[in-house]
Amino acid sequence: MAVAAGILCAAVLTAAPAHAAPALTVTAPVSAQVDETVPVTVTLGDLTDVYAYEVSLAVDTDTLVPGSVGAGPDGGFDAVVPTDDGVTLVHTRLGTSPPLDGEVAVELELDAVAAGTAEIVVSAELVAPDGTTTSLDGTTTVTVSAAPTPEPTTEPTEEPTVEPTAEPTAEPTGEPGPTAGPTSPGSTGGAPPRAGGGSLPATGTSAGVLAASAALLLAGGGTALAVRARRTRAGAR
Amino acid sequence: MTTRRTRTTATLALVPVLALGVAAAAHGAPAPAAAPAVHLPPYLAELDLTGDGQVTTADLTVVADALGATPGTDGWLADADVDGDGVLAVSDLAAVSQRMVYDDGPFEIVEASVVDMQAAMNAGVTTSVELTRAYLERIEAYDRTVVQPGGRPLNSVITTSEAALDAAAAADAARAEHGMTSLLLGVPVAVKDNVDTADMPTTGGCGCWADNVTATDATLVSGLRADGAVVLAKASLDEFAFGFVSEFSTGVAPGTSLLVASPYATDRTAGGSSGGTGAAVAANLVGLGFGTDTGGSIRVPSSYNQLVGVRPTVGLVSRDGIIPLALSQDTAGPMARSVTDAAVALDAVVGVDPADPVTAEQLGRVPASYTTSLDREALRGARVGYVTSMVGTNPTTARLFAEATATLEEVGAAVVPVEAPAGFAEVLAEPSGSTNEFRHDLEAYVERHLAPQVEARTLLDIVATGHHVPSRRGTYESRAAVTEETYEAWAGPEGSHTRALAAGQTLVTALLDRLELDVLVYPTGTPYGTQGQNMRLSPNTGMPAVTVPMGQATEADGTVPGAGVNLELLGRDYSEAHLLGFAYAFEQATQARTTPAAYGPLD
Repeated sequence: MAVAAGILCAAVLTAAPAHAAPALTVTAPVSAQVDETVPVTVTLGDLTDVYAYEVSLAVDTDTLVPGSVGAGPDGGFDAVVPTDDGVTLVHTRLGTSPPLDGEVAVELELDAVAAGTAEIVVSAELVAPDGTTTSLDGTTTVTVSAAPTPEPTTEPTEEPTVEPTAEPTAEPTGEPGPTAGPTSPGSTGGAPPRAGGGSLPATGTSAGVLAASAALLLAGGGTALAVRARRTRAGAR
Repeated sequence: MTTRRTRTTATLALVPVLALGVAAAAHGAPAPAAAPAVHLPPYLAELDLTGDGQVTTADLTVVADALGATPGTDGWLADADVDGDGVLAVSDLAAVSQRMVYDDGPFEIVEASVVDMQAAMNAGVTTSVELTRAYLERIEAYDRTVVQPGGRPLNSVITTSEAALDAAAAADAARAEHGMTSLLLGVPVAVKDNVDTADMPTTGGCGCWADNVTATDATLVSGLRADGAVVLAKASLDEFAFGFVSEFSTGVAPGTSLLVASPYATDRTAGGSSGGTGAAVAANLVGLGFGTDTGGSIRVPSSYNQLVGVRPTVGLVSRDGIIPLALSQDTAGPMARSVTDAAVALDAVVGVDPADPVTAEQLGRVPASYTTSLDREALRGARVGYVTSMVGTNPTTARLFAEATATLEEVGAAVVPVEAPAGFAEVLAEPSGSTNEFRHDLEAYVERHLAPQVEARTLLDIVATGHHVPSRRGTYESRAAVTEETYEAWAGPEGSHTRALAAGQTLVTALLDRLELDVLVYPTGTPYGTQGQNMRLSPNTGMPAVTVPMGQATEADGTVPGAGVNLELLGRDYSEAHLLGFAYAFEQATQARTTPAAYGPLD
């Protein structure tokens, strides 16, 4: 799978907010091969006082089909609604909890099922605590190519060329050294390997969130998921 | 995007989209589980879709399952179309969600309402144990400490319960298992120290009864515990509940006494006789409290401390297990920082109690919950009368009352000035029953409830101990001398007081009926004072009254700047639901209560 591509979007406001306009960004690899998993990140940025949101994603399902989605920001209610051509993700805060501010990144995966060029169309609606709504949309395109035919490899030799030694050649040292330096705070170095193996554009997601995603992966029975969501800053009431 | 949606609800897990219909989940905090039906104010209950009386994540799942539906299509839920646009959308989901009692934001205990506490506990932001500890810390830090130069300590709490933290832990366990079963679940409360508690002494404010640990709780306390409240403290009072200054002798040397101070001006009184409850609730030392009222003892300290107070109809709340003053007029009721809190608290303590036969009158006259009447529009179309002679001339009181009647009109009520009818002055002039009833009624309490280890079992015994408010000796002696014949002639079935109260009830009810009034209003008092004989109208008719803050004195008034004065609403017998609804509408329109600045958050 190749280089990440990012495209983004426009905000259509049905009620004028007092702050910077929110933005929607869709990020996905520009290319993939059949049978690969295509990670998609929908980033809702510059959010102010968002109590609920709905993100709808539509694709050419002859080429890409929705794979997996996951949890939204901590402390709310989420629903996932499959549609004929994609999926809709809904999130709401609960009760009088503070609304979301800053950035929310929701990730999901698409499965590449056939060669072709597929447009990913995303629309979102943000709901403020007073019920006013803001609409956003964005698109990106993924080209899916057929998987390459494997070339035959060289025949193996019949025998190993070196006999193993009968005994270890050295005693272990008393104190094993670290095999790698510690990962820096906020890096993704401590994250578990992601299913699908695609390169994920940097979003700044914390290692802690990734760890949580890993736990959810286990809770999900080991299904091929890589879903992350985060609330970068929760506003105080 | 408009596409057909498959509506098959499933529990959310991170699973492939195509394996799902609609999947939903709350996460990141312990969401309330499905709970037994609970009574909530209409705003919080009206979007319940699952029939348990509250909005939970189960209701949100129902809405999520119907997203995109329109009238006539499969899954349409008209009740969930909150914005009425004919499509169930994420904005409707948000509107339903906002009715959940849930808040994962920062929790501040100062001025927290019972709904605030429940929301924070439901979200796991705090627990009943943490709330209880926090209030205990506030009592420890503030109650016996001088916080204003030249002022006095509040002295609002006589005893705190060593069992409170266990009760709080039990409430937390109940919430974990059953969800929010009551708006009082885990809420720390105080009761006046004339209300029996099996886990704390009930002294009546008298050092002479310091050992009165009763075998049982008062019926009122049993109701609170049954609803999951944490009975945290016993509040100070005027000794044996008569007086308006809250002077007591418990915990001090014989021959001395203490006074309860107002948290707004600690060189002034908190009022009485339920002044400890008033000061403690106002200063946020407890979640809410209970007082008793024979001639103003809930309403006076509520006015001084900018609280909502309810003096219920005699017969609504059992007095069994409460040290009596005059059973012809004794009542017990909540004192709280909001009308909602007061309504929630009242719900817990109503009911027929064979041990207090007058409570049998309430059958069929009590709603399932007083919270159901809490409507911002309750005053629209109401007819509100006031007897002009009850307003008085105090500059603060007169100004605030004029502003209050203007507000009542602004929110849709018709305000009707009324000349006092013939006989009205006599109703207000009828004396308190305490003089002729105290000895008689106290003897019944001593026989039935007073702990056997208490040696002072008569008024003369109490005098003999010397451990009482010194200035009261003469009163105790004179009341000890009241004979049974005098009592019967006063409070017996044909007694003069009995007839006077019945006549008062008849006269005022007739006044309401003749003028087609829903309620009478009048000022509860003046800045740190009473207004004429206004306090006597409710006890001398037996009719219920609710008092609610209407504002504070200003410099221009020339009285006591900052002092609160309440508006009182009086209605027909057992009309507490209407009164609370009217008080709620007035409260929402005015938001007149202020927080005592000297008792802010602890560092």
